[in-house]
Amino acid sequence: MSGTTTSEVPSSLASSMRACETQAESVPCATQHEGTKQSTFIVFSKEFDKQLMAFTLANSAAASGMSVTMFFTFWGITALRRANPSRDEHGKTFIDRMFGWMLPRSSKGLPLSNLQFAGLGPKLVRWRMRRLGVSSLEDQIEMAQALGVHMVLCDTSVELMGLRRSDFRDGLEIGGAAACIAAAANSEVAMVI
Amino acid sequence: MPIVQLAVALRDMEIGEEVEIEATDAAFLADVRAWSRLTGNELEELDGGDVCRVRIRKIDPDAAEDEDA
Repeated sequence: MSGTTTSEVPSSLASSMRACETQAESVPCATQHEGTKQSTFIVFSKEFDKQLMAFTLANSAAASGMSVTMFFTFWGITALRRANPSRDEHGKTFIDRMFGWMLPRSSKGLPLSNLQFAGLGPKLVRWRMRRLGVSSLEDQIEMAQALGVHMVLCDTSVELMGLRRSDFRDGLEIGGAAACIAAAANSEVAMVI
Repeated sequence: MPIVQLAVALRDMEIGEEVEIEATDAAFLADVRAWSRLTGNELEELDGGDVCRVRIRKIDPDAAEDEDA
């Protein structure tokens, strides 16, 4: 199991990486036991199918004894928004609020990358997943937290989308591009999703 | 996810203890073989039919690292 797997890197990610170079030191994911294999998943996309794949792989890696870091940036952060955030929008500009309205409100509001059918697609996929006994995305997020997967939010993306830490679920870490690269550099598996 | 359930079950087990797991997932046998290679936990295949049944024996994780190196 040597070698690094890297999927296609969107060109827009390069600029987001530059934008995310803040607060790298606050991420505790760089500490790991010697000998423990590591994997890093950079979650850039907001689509339900891509998020589901990211969490399935991260959970399998964690179940295989790897130390796992998921770094959420750009649209990917919307999956971690709190379903019922506090209604305190005080201090947010009109544009901030507009972003908040237009982006998915939580993992339950994510679109599909294909067969969206004006919102019918995700409902159909979720229904089929229930029928087949596939763990839901929400269960997988909980599972990842229970397995000790480090979920890191890109601070710059949060600001860029007009959101705040309080708009996101508990148990997340805050980090930047440097922390992400540090985790990826020590990883045997690193993927951009 | 049977692999995750298996990993969670192993957390509370002593080294050398065994657990049996049944899964209807068609990919489970391939997955559990790969998982066994990666983690070093010993795998015994009991039934590879529609309901796949395997027995896993927990090994000492530190010993597995030495073996790997």
